[in-house]
Order: sequence, then structure tokens, then C-alpha cells
Amino acid sequence: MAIRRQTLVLTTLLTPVTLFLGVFFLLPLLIIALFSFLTPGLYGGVEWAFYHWNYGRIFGWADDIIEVYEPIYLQILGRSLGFAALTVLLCLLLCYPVAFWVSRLPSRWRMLFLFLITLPFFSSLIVRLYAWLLILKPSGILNTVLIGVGVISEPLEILYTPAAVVLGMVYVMVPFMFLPLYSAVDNLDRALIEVSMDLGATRLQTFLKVVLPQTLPGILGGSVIVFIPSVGNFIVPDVLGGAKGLMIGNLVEQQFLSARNWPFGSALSMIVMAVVLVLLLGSMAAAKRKGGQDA
Amino acid sequence: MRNPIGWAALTLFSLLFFLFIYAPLLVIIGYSFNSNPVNMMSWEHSPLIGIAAYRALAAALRMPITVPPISKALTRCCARCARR
Repeated sequence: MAIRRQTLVLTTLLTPVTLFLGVFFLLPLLIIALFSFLTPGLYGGVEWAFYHWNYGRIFGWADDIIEVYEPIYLQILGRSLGFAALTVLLCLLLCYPVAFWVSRLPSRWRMLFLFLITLPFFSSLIVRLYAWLLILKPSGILNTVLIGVGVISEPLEILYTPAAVVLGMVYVMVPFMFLPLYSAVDNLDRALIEVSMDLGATRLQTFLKVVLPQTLPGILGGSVIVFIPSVGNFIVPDVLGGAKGLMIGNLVEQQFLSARNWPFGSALSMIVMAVVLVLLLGSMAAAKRKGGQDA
Repeated sequence: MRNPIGWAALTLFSLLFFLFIYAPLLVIIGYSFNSNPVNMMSWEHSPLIGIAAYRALAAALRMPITVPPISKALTRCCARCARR
């Protein structure tokens, strides 16, 4: 009787979630997977016939009549992965010291600064990116200030370069890195640091052997949360990137909206998903192995 | 906190970090006073427009707005707050 009741409760509680995920997550994913093997329709949409050249165009077995193989797609994917990795690294370098600083503040100030980190979310992302356009452009605020101070004589050409894209992505992603890092740093056992210093470890040794392992879950969590949206980001390269900053997200967006080649766009996004999944599983396995060694 | 120079450096770094986060928002606030009517991206300064914008704001806060009767009480409340 008790077991049947438990089953009933579990079923009732889990059904809505399962349905929601099934309809709004799994089904779209399956549609994309299916579409990536179908023939592109003449005016967008798909024709229901098997077609493997969507992938051939990317990996190199195109027929060279209708579909042409271009190595550029894989290059853009590689560049997107590089940009995303750089974004993760820069976010980490920016947020790690600040997380320590905020966690050492008196509690009233701590709340204020945590609030300040999330506050920019209240305004539109597009508007904030356009503000970066105003800051970075050759006659913009940054260049005016730098020339006025006398650091440079020629305006820096930052806008519409990969540097601008990475800067924009770091700006967008910083809160996602900060919050997990902060919770890891805040839970840090201070007594262990003191013990380590008392027992004669240098500052570097204390950091590497005591602080870093304890904050590693926050670092990994933040990195994953920043990396995944960065790889597929298309808004930042669209506003700040120009032609040299094109990322795989732009390519997918163009295939769906401008080129109206839904199957090719689906194939591209399937490849992005596969690559990200493999990278994530690999890094998780590596982290687990490393954690096992330490314990 | 044992090391005041280190703490000061950390504070400076953190404040610069917050400047980085808030730079675009400050720019948006600044450019809301841009008086170029055509292109938002190029700055044009005219103090008159700034003053006009301020006056319009002040007037809007004080103006007895004509509203449907249901929201009259709400408006009165808002006006009282604005006067304060």
C-alpha cells in the first residue's frame, strides 16, 4: 500500500516535468536531428527525402555540383571554440580575484556588490552591446580618452575584430562565471588556509594545494556555464564582430533566416552540439580522474 | 587583510572590474542626453535640449494627467510621491 502510494506521488510529481522537457526540449532536438538528414526545400523548409550532403558539405564528400565542400565551415567552428575558450579563461582571470574581494567585505557591502553584478541584466543585452559599439569605435569614448591622455596617437582599431568579439562575450558572460565562483570562494574553509600557512607552506603552495582544489568545483561549473553559450553565441559577433569575427552561431542563423537552407543549418548545429558534448564529457572525465588522484 | 598593499591592489582591481561591467550602462545614460535627432551613434551637444528634457521630465512629474477614473486614486498617490 505504502509503495503504491509512493509510486502515485512520484508519478504525479514527475509527469509535468517529463512532459515539459519532452515537448519543449527533446522534440525540437529530434526535429533538428531529423532535418539535418533531409533535402533542403526550394524556398526554405524541407523536402522529405534522405540527403547526406548537408554533412558532406562540411566534412568533405560533397558532389561538387549542387553542394560544394568548403573547409571554411570547420574553420569557423574551430574559431568559435577558440573564442569561447578564451572567453572562459578571461572571465576566470577577471572573476577569481573579485570573488575573493567580495567574500572578504562586510556582509552589507557584500550583498550590495552581489546585487551590482546581476543588476545589468535588468537592461537589454542589445542596448548594452550597442553601448560597447560607442565605446570601441575609432572616434569612440575609449579612443578619445586614450588620445587625450596621450597614450596613443592613432585611434585603436578594436571594433569589428576578434578582440571586440571576445571582449563583448566576456562582458556578457562575466556574471555567469562570477556567481558559481563566488559561492565556491565563500564556502572556502579559512581555517585550512591558516593551518597551511602555519605549517610553513609558501603563499603559492597554499594557493595551489589548499585554495585551488577547494574552489575547483566553482571554476569548473562557471567554465561550463560560460563555454556552452559562448560557442553558439551570435548576437555579440553580429554587433561587434564584422566579417572577421563571424562565429558558428552566425552561420546557423544565416542558414535558417537568410539562406533558407534549414537542413544545412540543422547539420551545422548538430555538429556544434556533438563537439561541445564530446569536449564537456572529456573535461568532466579528466576532472574526475584528477579528483580521484587527489583524494 | 594581513597585507594592506595586497588588499588595496585587490580593491582597485575589483573596482575596475565593476567599472568594466557598468561602462556600457554609463554610456547609455550619457547618450540619453544626446541631442542628435538623426543618428544616435554620433554625439551632438546642445545644452538647450538637455534643459528641455529636464523641464519635460519635471513637467511630467507635476502635471495633473487626465486619466480614466479607475486609476485616478493611483495617479493622486503617484503625484503625492513625486511632490515629496
